[in-house]
Amino acid sequence: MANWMDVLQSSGPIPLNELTLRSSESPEELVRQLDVFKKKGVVIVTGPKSDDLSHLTSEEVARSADTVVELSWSGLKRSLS
Amino acid sequence: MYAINPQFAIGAVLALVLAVATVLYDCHVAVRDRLKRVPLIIFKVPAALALSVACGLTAIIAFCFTDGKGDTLVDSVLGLQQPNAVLRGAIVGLTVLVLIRSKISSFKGAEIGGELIYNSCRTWVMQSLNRQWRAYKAKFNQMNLPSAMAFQDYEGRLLTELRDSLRTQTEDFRGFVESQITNVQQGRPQTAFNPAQLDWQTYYRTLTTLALDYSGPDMFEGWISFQDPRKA
Repeated sequence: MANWMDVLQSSGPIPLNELTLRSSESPEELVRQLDVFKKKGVVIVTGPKSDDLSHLTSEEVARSADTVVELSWSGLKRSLS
Repeated sequence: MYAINPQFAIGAVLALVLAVATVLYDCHVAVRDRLKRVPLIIFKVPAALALSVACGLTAIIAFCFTDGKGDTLVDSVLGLQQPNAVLRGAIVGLTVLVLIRSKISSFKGAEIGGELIYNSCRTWVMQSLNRQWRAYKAKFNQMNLPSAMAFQDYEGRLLTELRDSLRTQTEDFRGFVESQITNVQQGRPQTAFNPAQLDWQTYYRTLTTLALDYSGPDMFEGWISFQDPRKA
Protein backbone atom coordinates (compact mmCIF):
# COMPACT_ATOMS: atom_id res chain seq x y z
CA MET A 1 0.00 0.00 0.00
CA ALA A 2 1.40 3.34 -1.01
CA ASN A 3 -0.09 5.86 1.37
CA TRP A 4 -0.23 9.39 -0.08
CA MET A 5 1.93 10.74 2.74
CA ASP A 6 4.67 8.15 2.01
CA VAL A 7 4.49 9.03 -1.67
CA LEU A 8 4.71 12.74 -0.87
CA GLN A 9 7.66 12.22 1.46
CA SER A 10 9.59 10.24 -1.10
CA SER A 11 8.79 12.37 -4.13
CA GLY A 12 8.95 15.91 -2.84
CA PRO A 13 6.43 18.43 -4.23
CA ILE A 14 4.11 16.70 -6.69
CA PRO A 15 1.11 17.67 -8.87
CA LEU A 16 -2.20 16.58 -7.35
CA ASN A 17 -3.18 14.40 -10.32
CA GLU A 18 0.12 12.47 -10.13
CA LEU A 19 -0.22 12.04 -6.37
CA THR A 20 -3.70 10.58 -6.93
CA LEU A 21 -2.42 8.15 -9.53
CA ARG A 22 0.45 6.96 -7.32
CA SER A 23 -1.31 6.65 -3.97
CA SER A 24 -3.71 3.97 -2.83
CA GLU A 25 -6.51 6.33 -1.72
CA SER A 26 -9.40 7.20 -3.99
CA PRO A 27 -9.34 10.78 -5.37
CA GLU A 28 -12.23 11.80 -3.09
CA GLU A 29 -10.58 10.33 0.02
CA LEU A 30 -7.22 11.82 -0.91
CA VAL A 31 -8.53 15.39 -1.25
CA ARG A 32 -10.54 14.99 1.97
CA GLN A 33 -7.41 13.96 3.87
CA LEU A 34 -5.31 16.61 2.16
CA ASP A 35 -7.81 19.25 3.26
CA VAL A 36 -7.55 18.08 6.89
CA PHE A 37 -3.73 18.05 6.82
CA LYS A 38 -3.65 21.40 5.06
CA LYS A 39 -5.72 22.92 7.87
CA LYS A 40 -3.32 21.36 10.40
CA GLY A 41 -0.41 23.01 8.56
CA VAL A 42 1.29 19.73 7.65
CA VAL A 43 0.96 20.10 3.87
CA ILE A 44 0.89 23.06 1.52
CA VAL A 45 -1.33 22.99 -1.53
CA THR A 46 -0.78 25.64 -4.19
CA GLY A 47 -2.54 26.31 -7.46
CA PRO A 48 -5.95 27.34 -8.75
CA LYS A 49 -7.85 24.56 -6.96
CA SER A 50 -6.03 24.73 -3.64
CA ASP A 51 -8.75 26.63 -1.75
CA ASP A 52 -11.57 24.26 -2.57
CA LEU A 53 -9.97 20.85 -2.22
CA SER A 54 -12.72 18.93 -0.49
CA HIS A 55 -15.25 19.85 -3.19
CA LEU A 56 -13.19 18.58 -6.10
CA THR A 57 -14.68 15.74 -8.12
CA SER A 58 -12.50 12.85 -9.26
CA GLU A 59 -12.55 14.27 -12.82
CA GLU A 60 -11.33 17.63 -11.55
CA VAL A 61 -8.59 15.93 -9.54
CA ALA A 62 -7.50 14.03 -12.67
CA ARG A 63 -7.08 17.39 -14.44
CA SER A 64 -5.25 19.14 -11.60
CA ALA A 65 -1.70 19.13 -12.96
CA ASP A 66 -1.31 22.77 -11.92
CA THR A 67 -2.19 22.10 -8.28
CA VAL A 68 0.95 21.15 -6.37
CA VAL A 69 1.12 19.37 -3.02
CA GLU A 70 4.17 19.53 -0.75
CA LEU A 71 5.06 19.06 2.88
CA SER A 72 5.05 22.28 4.89
CA TRP A 73 7.92 23.47 7.07
CA SER A 74 6.45 21.68 10.09
CA GLY A 75 5.60 18.59 8.05
CA LEU A 76 9.15 18.39 6.76
CA LYS A 77 10.56 18.94 10.23
CA ARG A 78 8.42 16.13 11.57
CA SER A 79 9.52 13.80 8.80
CA LEU A 80 13.19 14.63 9.31
CA SER A 81 13.19 14.28 13.10
CA MET B 1 42.55 32.41 23.59
CA TYR B 2 45.64 31.38 21.63
CA ALA B 3 48.02 33.70 19.86
CA ILE B 4 48.06 33.04 16.10
CA ASN B 5 50.77 30.53 15.23
CA PRO B 6 51.06 28.07 12.33
CA GLN B 7 49.71 25.12 14.32
CA PHE B 8 46.78 27.17 15.55
CA ALA B 9 46.03 28.37 12.01
CA ILE B 10 46.11 24.81 10.66
CA GLY B 11 43.88 23.69 13.52
CA ALA B 12 41.38 26.44 12.73
CA VAL B 13 41.33 25.55 9.02
CA LEU B 14 40.87 21.87 9.87
CA ALA B 15 38.02 22.74 12.23
CA LEU B 16 36.32 24.70 9.42
CA VAL B 17 36.83 22.10 6.68
CA LEU B 18 35.86 19.09 8.77
CA ALA B 19 32.83 20.87 10.23
CA VAL B 20 31.65 21.77 6.71
CA ALA B 21 32.13 18.14 5.59
CA THR B 22 30.36 16.78 8.69
CA VAL B 23 27.34 19.04 8.26
CA LEU B 24 27.05 18.28 4.53
CA TYR B 25 27.16 14.57 5.34
CA ASP B 26 24.55 14.99 8.07
CA CYS B 27 22.24 16.81 5.61
CA HIS B 28 22.87 14.12 3.01
CA VAL B 29 21.96 11.35 5.46
CA ALA B 30 18.87 13.25 6.60
CA VAL B 31 17.47 13.51 3.09
CA ARG B 32 18.77 10.22 1.66
CA ASP B 33 16.00 8.11 3.14
CA ARG B 34 13.32 10.46 1.86
CA LEU B 35 14.46 11.40 -1.60
CA LYS B 36 16.17 8.22 -2.68
CA ARG B 37 17.57 9.17 -6.05
CA VAL B 38 17.97 12.92 -6.10
CA PRO B 39 20.78 13.50 -8.59
CA LEU B 40 21.91 16.79 -7.06
CA ILE B 41 24.66 16.00 -4.66
CA ILE B 42 23.85 17.77 -1.44
CA PHE B 43 26.79 20.16 -1.48
CA LYS B 44 25.56 21.74 -4.73
CA VAL B 45 22.52 23.13 -2.92
CA PRO B 46 23.33 26.74 -1.87
CA ALA B 47 21.28 26.37 1.31
CA ALA B 48 23.38 23.35 2.36
CA LEU B 49 26.57 25.25 1.61
CA ALA B 50 25.40 28.23 3.66
CA LEU B 51 24.45 26.00 6.62
CA SER B 52 27.71 24.07 6.50
CA VAL B 53 29.83 27.23 6.29
CA ALA B 54 27.91 28.74 9.23
CA CYS B 55 28.62 25.58 11.24
CA GLY B 56 32.25 25.72 10.08
CA LEU B 57 32.57 29.25 11.44
CA THR B 58 30.96 28.06 14.68
CA ALA B 59 33.64 25.36 14.83
CA ILE B 60 36.40 27.97 14.41
CA ILE B 61 34.95 30.09 17.21
CA ALA B 62 34.63 27.00 19.41
CA PHE B 63 38.22 26.03 18.56
CA CYS B 64 39.39 29.47 19.71
CA PHE B 65 37.83 28.72 23.09
CA THR B 66 39.79 25.52 23.66
CA ASP B 67 43.03 25.58 25.62
CA GLY B 68 44.44 22.08 25.32
CA LYS B 69 44.17 21.44 29.06
CA GLY B 70 40.49 20.64 29.18
CA ASP B 71 39.67 23.65 31.35
CA THR B 72 37.25 25.57 29.11
CA LEU B 73 33.52 25.00 28.67
CA VAL B 74 34.02 23.88 25.05
CA ASP B 75 36.76 21.43 26.14
CA SER B 76 34.49 19.96 28.78
CA VAL B 77 31.53 19.55 26.41
CA LEU B 78 33.69 17.77 23.82
CA GLY B 79 35.75 15.90 26.43
CA LEU B 80 38.92 17.43 24.98
CA GLN B 81 42.31 17.34 26.63
CA GLN B 82 44.40 17.63 23.53
CA PRO B 83 47.48 19.87 23.67
CA ASN B 84 48.17 19.54 19.93
CA ALA B 85 46.32 22.41 18.22
CA VAL B 86 46.11 20.60 14.85
CA LEU B 87 44.49 17.51 16.37
CA ARG B 88 42.29 19.69 18.53
CA GLY B 89 41.08 21.56 15.44
CA ALA B 90 40.28 18.30 13.70
CA ILE B 91 38.34 17.00 16.70
CA VAL B 92 36.37 20.25 17.08
CA GLY B 93 35.51 20.16 13.36
CA LEU B 94 34.35 16.55 13.44
CA THR B 95 32.29 17.04 16.60
CA VAL B 96 30.78 20.42 15.80
CA LEU B 97 27.29 18.90 15.76
CA VAL B 98 27.81 17.56 19.28
CA LEU B 99 28.66 21.09 20.31
CA ILE B 100 25.69 22.66 18.54
CA ARG B 101 23.37 20.08 20.09
CA SER B 102 25.05 20.13 23.49
CA LYS B 103 23.75 21.34 26.84
CA ILE B 104 25.22 24.73 26.01
CA SER B 105 22.39 25.24 23.56
CA SER B 106 19.67 22.96 24.95
CA PHE B 107 17.74 22.97 28.19
CA LYS B 108 16.48 19.78 29.84
CA GLY B 109 16.29 18.00 26.48
CA ALA B 110 14.06 20.68 24.98
CA GLU B 111 14.89 21.68 21.44
CA ILE B 112 15.99 25.26 21.94
CA GLY B 113 18.96 27.39 20.92
CA GLY B 114 21.50 25.69 18.68
CA GLU B 115 19.47 22.49 18.24
CA LEU B 116 16.38 24.42 17.15
CA ILE B 117 18.36 26.64 14.77
CA TYR B 118 20.26 23.69 13.30
CA ASN B 119 17.14 21.57 12.74
CA SER B 120 15.29 24.52 11.23
CA CYS B 121 18.21 25.17 8.88
CA ARG B 122 18.31 21.52 7.87
CA THR B 123 14.61 21.71 7.04
CA TRP B 124 15.38 24.81 4.95
CA VAL B 125 18.03 22.77 3.09
CA MET B 126 15.42 20.08 2.47
CA GLN B 127 12.93 22.61 1.12
CA SER B 128 15.56 24.01 -1.18
CA LEU B 129 16.47 20.54 -2.41
CA ASN B 130 12.78 19.68 -2.91
CA ARG B 131 12.28 22.75 -5.10
CA GLN B 132 15.31 21.96 -7.24
CA TRP B 133 14.29 18.32 -7.57
CA ARG B 134 10.78 19.26 -8.68
CA ALA B 135 12.14 21.77 -11.20
CA TYR B 136 14.49 19.08 -12.52
CA LYS B 137 11.68 16.54 -12.97
CA ALA B 138 9.44 19.11 -14.66
CA LYS B 139 12.25 20.03 -17.04
CA PHE B 140 13.03 16.36 -17.72
CA ASN B 141 9.39 15.68 -18.60
CA GLN B 142 9.16 18.81 -20.72
CA MET B 143 12.23 17.78 -22.71
CA ASN B 144 11.46 14.08 -23.02
CA LEU B 145 7.70 13.59 -23.02
CA PRO B 146 7.48 13.78 -26.84
CA SER B 147 10.20 11.10 -27.08
CA ALA B 148 8.42 8.96 -24.48
CA MET B 149 5.14 9.20 -26.38
CA ALA B 150 6.91 8.14 -29.58
CA PHE B 151 8.81 5.29 -27.89
CA GLN B 152 7.60 1.79 -28.69
CA ASP B 153 6.50 -0.02 -25.51
CA TYR B 154 7.74 2.84 -23.32
CA GLU B 155 5.77 1.59 -20.32
CA GLY B 156 7.14 -1.96 -20.55
CA ARG B 157 10.77 -0.98 -20.95
CA LEU B 158 10.59 1.75 -18.29
CA LEU B 159 9.08 -0.56 -15.69
CA THR B 160 11.50 -3.39 -16.50
CA GLU B 161 14.49 -1.09 -16.06
CA LEU B 162 13.02 0.47 -12.93
CA ARG B 163 12.50 -2.95 -11.33
CA ASP B 164 16.01 -4.05 -12.36
CA SER B 165 17.54 -0.98 -10.78
CA LEU B 166 15.73 -1.65 -7.50
CA ARG B 167 17.05 -5.19 -7.05
CA THR B 168 19.62 -4.08 -4.49
CA GLN B 169 17.03 -2.19 -2.43
CA THR B 170 15.22 -3.63 0.59
CA GLU B 171 12.10 -5.73 0.10
CA ASP B 172 10.01 -3.09 1.90
CA PHE B 173 11.18 -0.41 -0.47
CA ARG B 174 10.63 -2.54 -3.56
CA GLY B 175 7.14 -3.36 -2.29
CA PHE B 176 6.43 0.33 -1.76
CA VAL B 177 7.47 1.20 -5.33
CA GLU B 178 5.64 -1.84 -6.72
CA SER B 179 2.41 -0.74 -5.02
CA GLN B 180 2.76 2.66 -6.68
CA ILE B 181 3.30 1.02 -10.06
CA THR B 182 0.12 -1.01 -9.51
CA ASN B 183 -1.80 2.13 -8.52
CA VAL B 184 -0.59 4.03 -11.58
CA GLN B 185 -1.41 1.14 -13.91
CA GLN B 186 -4.91 0.95 -12.47
CA GLY B 187 -5.33 4.52 -13.67
CA ARG B 188 -4.18 3.68 -17.20
CA PRO B 189 -6.43 5.43 -19.76
CA GLN B 190 -9.08 3.09 -21.13
CA THR B 191 -9.05 4.71 -24.56
CA ALA B 192 -6.80 3.65 -27.44
CA PHE B 193 -3.29 5.11 -27.19
CA ASN B 194 -3.23 8.67 -28.48
CA PRO B 195 -0.13 10.83 -27.83
CA ALA B 196 -2.18 14.00 -28.27
CA GLN B 197 -4.60 13.04 -25.51
CA LEU B 198 -4.06 14.68 -22.10
CA ASP B 199 -4.88 11.46 -20.20
CA TRP B 200 -2.10 9.58 -21.94
CA GLN B 201 0.36 12.40 -21.45
CA THR B 202 -0.44 12.50 -17.72
CA TYR B 203 -0.05 8.72 -17.54
CA TYR B 204 3.37 8.77 -19.23
CA ARG B 205 4.49 11.78 -17.19
CA THR B 206 3.52 10.01 -13.96
CA LEU B 207 5.42 6.86 -14.95
CA THR B 208 8.50 8.90 -15.84
CA THR B 209 8.40 10.86 -12.58
CA LEU B 210 7.98 7.65 -10.62
CA ALA B 211 11.06 6.18 -12.30
CA LEU B 212 13.05 9.36 -11.65
CA ASP B 213 12.03 9.38 -7.97
CA TYR B 214 13.16 5.83 -7.26
CA SER B 215 15.78 5.06 -9.85
CA GLY B 216 17.19 8.47 -10.73
CA PRO B 217 18.03 10.06 -14.07
CA ASP B 218 20.91 7.65 -14.68
CA MET B 219 18.33 5.02 -15.61
CA PHE B 220 17.68 6.93 -18.84
CA GLU B 221 21.33 7.16 -19.84
CA GLY B 222 21.14 4.48 -22.52
CA TRP B 223 17.96 5.92 -24.01
CA ILE B 224 19.31 7.63 -27.12
CA SER B 225 16.35 9.93 -27.79
CA PHE B 226 16.24 11.16 -24.19
CA GLN B 227 18.03 14.27 -22.93
CA ASP B 228 19.29 15.01 -19.45
CA PRO B 229 18.54 18.60 -18.29
CA ARG B 230 21.87 18.59 -16.45
CA LYS B 231 23.71 18.19 -19.75
CA ALA B 232 21.45 20.29 -21.98
